[in-house]
Amino acid sequence: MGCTPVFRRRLMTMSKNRSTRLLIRNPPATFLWKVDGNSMRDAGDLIVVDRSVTPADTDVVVATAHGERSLKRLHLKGGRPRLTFENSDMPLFDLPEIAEVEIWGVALCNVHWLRPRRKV
Amino acid sequence: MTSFALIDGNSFYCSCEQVFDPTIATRPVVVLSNNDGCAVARTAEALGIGMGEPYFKIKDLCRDNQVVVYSSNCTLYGDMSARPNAIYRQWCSDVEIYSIDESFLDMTDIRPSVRARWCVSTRNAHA
Repeated sequence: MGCTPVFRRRLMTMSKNRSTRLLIRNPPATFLWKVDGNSMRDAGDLIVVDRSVTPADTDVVVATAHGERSLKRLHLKGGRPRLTFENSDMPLFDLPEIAEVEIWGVALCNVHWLRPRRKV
Repeated sequence: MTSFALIDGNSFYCSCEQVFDPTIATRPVVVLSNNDGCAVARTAEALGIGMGEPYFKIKDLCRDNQVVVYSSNCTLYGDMSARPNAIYRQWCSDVEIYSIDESFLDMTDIRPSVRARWCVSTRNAHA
């Protein structure tokens, strides 16, 4: 699913507030991304992305492939690394034999608002 | 003897934009001032774009050389500026934030023999 970074100061991951430390372990390396409206189910969710964490098998990551950036699940076991869609019928994201993929960061958790709101 | 380190981000606004768009990491990037007036940050000095060069003067040059041009995104730069400063504070007791991308650190308490190594470690610190 598509995602865009969020920089609004109110959501700053650099907040000194102790309660945010539950979600954010390494503030200088943690960023907030918002899930785009492309994915109906999780649209509007905030994803907490940590760049200082080494990506591991089955992590959800912000990945850039084919010049496009999105959230994908990373699979490292069983031969070649693969990316799969998180929310789709298609199980596998098609990558050619030689592909340049950048793993921007690892999604640690997802903030899902139960009450509808107009803007972040 | 009192010693200070001055840490300065390279083409800071451009670097911030490049973090969020890996496809432009190797391309020349220019960031413009408010209302897209002048080039206030550039990775493209080699193209002859000086600091503060009015955009209308370099517009053709940018287009011909596939220079990526951004308007200012001050919210982004402010957010990004706080991150290395937080890392400086982890490594040093006294940090003076001088500008959005420059900070002075008091290195007096760090032994001269380890200062170079300290600088490298700070630079490589995560993020």
